[in-house]
Amino acid sequence: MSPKLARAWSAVALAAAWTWLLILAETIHSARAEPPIPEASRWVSADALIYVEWHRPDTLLDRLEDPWLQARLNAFPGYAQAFSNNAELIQARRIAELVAAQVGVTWREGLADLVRGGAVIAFDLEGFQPVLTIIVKPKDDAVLRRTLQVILQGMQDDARSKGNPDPVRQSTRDGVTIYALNDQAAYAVHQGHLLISNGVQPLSILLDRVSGRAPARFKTMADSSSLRERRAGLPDDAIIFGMVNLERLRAFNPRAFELPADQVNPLLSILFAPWVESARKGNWVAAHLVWTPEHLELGVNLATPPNGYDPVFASLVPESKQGAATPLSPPGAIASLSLRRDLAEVWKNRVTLLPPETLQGLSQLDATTGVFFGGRDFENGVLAALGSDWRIVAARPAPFAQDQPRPDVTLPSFALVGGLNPQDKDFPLRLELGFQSLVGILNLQANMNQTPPLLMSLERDGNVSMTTTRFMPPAPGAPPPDDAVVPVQYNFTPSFASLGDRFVLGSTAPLTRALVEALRDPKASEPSQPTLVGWIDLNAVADLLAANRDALVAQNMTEQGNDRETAQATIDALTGFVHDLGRFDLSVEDTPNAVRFRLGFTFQPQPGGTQP
Amino acid sequence: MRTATMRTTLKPQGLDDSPRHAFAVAALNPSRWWEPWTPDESNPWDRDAVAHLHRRAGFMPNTATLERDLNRTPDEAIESLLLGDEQGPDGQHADDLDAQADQLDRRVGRNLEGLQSCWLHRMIHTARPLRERMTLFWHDHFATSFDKVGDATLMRHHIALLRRHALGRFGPLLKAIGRDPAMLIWLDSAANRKRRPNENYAREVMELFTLGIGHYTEADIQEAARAFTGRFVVNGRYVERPEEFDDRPKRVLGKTAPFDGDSLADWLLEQPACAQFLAAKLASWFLSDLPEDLGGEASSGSDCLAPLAETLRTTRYDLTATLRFLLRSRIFFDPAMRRRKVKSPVEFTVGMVRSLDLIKPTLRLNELAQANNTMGQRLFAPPGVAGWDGGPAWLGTTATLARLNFALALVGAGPGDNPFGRGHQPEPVAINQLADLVDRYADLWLQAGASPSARRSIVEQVVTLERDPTNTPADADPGRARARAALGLLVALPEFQLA
Repeated sequence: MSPKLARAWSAVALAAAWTWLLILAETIHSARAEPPIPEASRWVSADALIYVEWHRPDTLLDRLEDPWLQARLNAFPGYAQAFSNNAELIQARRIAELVAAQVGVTWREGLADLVRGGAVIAFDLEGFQPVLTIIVKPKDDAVLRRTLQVILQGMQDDARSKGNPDPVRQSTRDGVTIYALNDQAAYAVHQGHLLISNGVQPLSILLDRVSGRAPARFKTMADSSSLRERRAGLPDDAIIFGMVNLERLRAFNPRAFELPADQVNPLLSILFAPWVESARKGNWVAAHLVWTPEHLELGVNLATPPNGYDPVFASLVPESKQGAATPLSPPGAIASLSLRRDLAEVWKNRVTLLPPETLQGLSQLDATTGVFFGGRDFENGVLAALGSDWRIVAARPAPFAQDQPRPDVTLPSFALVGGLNPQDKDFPLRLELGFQSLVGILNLQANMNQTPPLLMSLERDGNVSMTTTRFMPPAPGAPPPDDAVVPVQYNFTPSFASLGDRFVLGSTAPLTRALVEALRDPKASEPSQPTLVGWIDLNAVADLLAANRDALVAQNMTEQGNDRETAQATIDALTGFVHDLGRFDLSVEDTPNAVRFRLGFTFQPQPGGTQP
Repeated sequence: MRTATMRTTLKPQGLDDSPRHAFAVAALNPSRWWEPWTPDESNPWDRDAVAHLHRRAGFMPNTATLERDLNRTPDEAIESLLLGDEQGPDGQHADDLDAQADQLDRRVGRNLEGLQSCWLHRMIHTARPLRERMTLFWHDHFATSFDKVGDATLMRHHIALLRRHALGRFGPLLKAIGRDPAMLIWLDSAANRKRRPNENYAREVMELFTLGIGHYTEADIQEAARAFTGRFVVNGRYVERPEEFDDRPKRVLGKTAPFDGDSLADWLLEQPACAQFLAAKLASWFLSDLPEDLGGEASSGSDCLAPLAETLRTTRYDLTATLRFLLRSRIFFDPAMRRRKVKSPVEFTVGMVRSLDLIKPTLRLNELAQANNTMGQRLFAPPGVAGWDGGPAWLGTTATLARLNFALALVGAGPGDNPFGRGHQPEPVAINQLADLVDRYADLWLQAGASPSARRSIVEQVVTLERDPTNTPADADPGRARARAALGLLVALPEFQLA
């Protein structure tokens, strides 16, 4: 290669490398680009009980005033009326318009400009005295002062006209004017910020901090490493971020964090016990809200107990990357939820986890399971044979067979998918027999009550064993009355299937079969990171609401007393709203330091490209 | 105003057996009871008379209905009730209301609570309140309960059957009831075979539906049971099986014939006791809860009711014609007969709702059904084959408290939240306008049942309550709180319980 060509190639290589580095830097920067910590955090104590950053108040206003949202809300009968009849709202709006007119802006512009730079809100307790701090950064200091002056003047004129004393007392502190309102609130404008507190004393303390005269022992939130840790990974489009100091709150009111045994919900305890324990013993919780035209997300990080979980709860927390299996999405799925929970551990620790009444009820389980599962012991013979993966799937209503009556109310299909211990070869058959025994018992009851019994069929396909049932249709020669209500049970064809290390218990045979097919893929049961993960297709839910519109309207008429038109409008508004919400996602992830909750909506794109 | 602080020292003006009242009733010669009533100075066609007509033959009227019928003749008002109005209280056409109510029945009436809610919805919105009252009459007469039948469709059909015949002829109704699956299941007659005739239905037909006790023998029942053989209920449908029908002659009430269910029904209707029995029931339903008001025990065939029984017979048990005769009578409009009945829970609740125009939207109907249940009237589920006891039996301790709480909730004077979702919003009233407000509502609900002294006493009590520092006002607006307190005292009057 000639030197000239070599230099040319070197230049190209250097340029490419430099470009690549820039791209990499930008990517890294974007990935870590949290919203900047507000300046006002310097004036809030690092120990504040509650600390909130409001990054984009005007964005929140925009979202709330979005034409799509307003149209959907106004479609609900009574919504517009509630606002138009609310005397306090009407008066507040009138005052806002009056003030804005005097300042020379619209109330909407005025409000947006007032909060354009963001706000910080803090709540604390000094002894037993509450201290509320609100620090707002407006777009324009001058407009702020003018607005406040107009409001102040209005209050004073109103008091004078009613013969009341002047509600405003003024004082100064180091050249800054403090306005106290009826001894309940005080505000000042300093260094381009509006400072509000619930009294002159706390406002004075705040002013000192702003002026740099805070006492030496004062530790500022801005310098707090805790704040930085808890903001780490905060999406750069987060509108609001907040933290609560649970450690201090617990010291102040320990009883609020106790969970009396009689208030323990057994099901919630089985599902959420470790997270409840975190809420009781963790030192902090932080949350953020993101709201863009495309999605809405709430993220909550809840600190785990500082000394770690008690063994009872630790046994329910999966190892890293050994979380819930991937949620299943068979054709027609509406919703899917997956949870990793070791029921054998729950049972072992049931005295701690479950309330006494539930324990009493469970004491008979040994005998009962013995009947259904060939004499097996509940803990060692049944729970030990079950895996830790639990998945629930909801799907669109199954098609109805020709000879089956079609119910007036169409219900979705549901299925439970569970794991099986592959070492226990006998248990899947026991489980299937247990299902068949249950069908037999239900049929005895059906005969006594003269309701349709279940007809059973068995299918075998390789390692898949399936039992399906369907409710017996009326005899052709003895049909029910023409307008007889078709019972909702005709929505269901309860079925059971087992294949290898999984079982499926479904409310309909088609869904059971679809899940069996989905489970044949080994990747379908790979563990993910979250302990709980799921989604709901709200479009499909909206379709279901639409399919049952008449029934829902009738129910609304009787339960709420609405006339037909109002009931129809309510149901239609609800259906439309649910449709536009698009998809809901949920995940709960156990990490060593915190439990991370994420809930979010991905909105349905609107025709014409406009988004909610 | 809270319930615990309310006191009334007013003596009820109705439903007592004081010598004054007995004299008043006795003062009207029974031979003149059934003459057509003509208003005169001593007994005018006024607000009290109009409201009395609607309370007995419809539901408590609202102001518009009162004003409308004040400007009509009594005959016009009665015909309007018998034939129904063209529009319901919310302005919908009567036929549209019926169609909507039928659809609601089908969609929501899947269980007892749904059935109850739907019927209450129909009563509140109906343009034909007398038809609904008569449906309720027949529901009490042919008492059949969901608790045993267990099938919402069958019970819905049962009530629809009663409604179809409510103001028709009794004969076709009696025959249709004998084929109603709900009735047959209720009386264990869903499989009536000729080798083992079921006597249940035959007994109830004679004892409860047509003749009353003492007008038949055991032998009559056994023979009549054979007439109903061959009747079956299969999968909710009525089926006749000729091979199971006993077609041999039966001797019933002195006549021998190869009776079947229909011809037996015709024979029963020919008995004088049948007309007397039904006349006594209609009189008890429309005139007074007290047998002594009607000339003696209802079932004994009082002479006072003979013309009513005769009308039934001569019109071939035409209920419209009979009710026209009854409602136009002097005895019906006699002032001494007003407020002689305790409102049943349904009359009480639906009447209050309609009188206050709480129609569109109306109350949460599930809650309203529950309230009626608590007050002792479970629609679609009468307590036994004899229906509801009615009369003073409606005023047990629990029931009376439930009635009071309901009424107070509706006028916004009750403790706690209003579970019914809606209530009346009275206009705020100044202290010097309180007497006018009391008059207005007393004229709407009570008319002559609220004496001038009672009205004055209510005003005084509201003023006293306002001055009581321990009293918690029922509204943030003092004027409206005052109004609510007054309405609360009005609905707490004993007379408010009476129709």
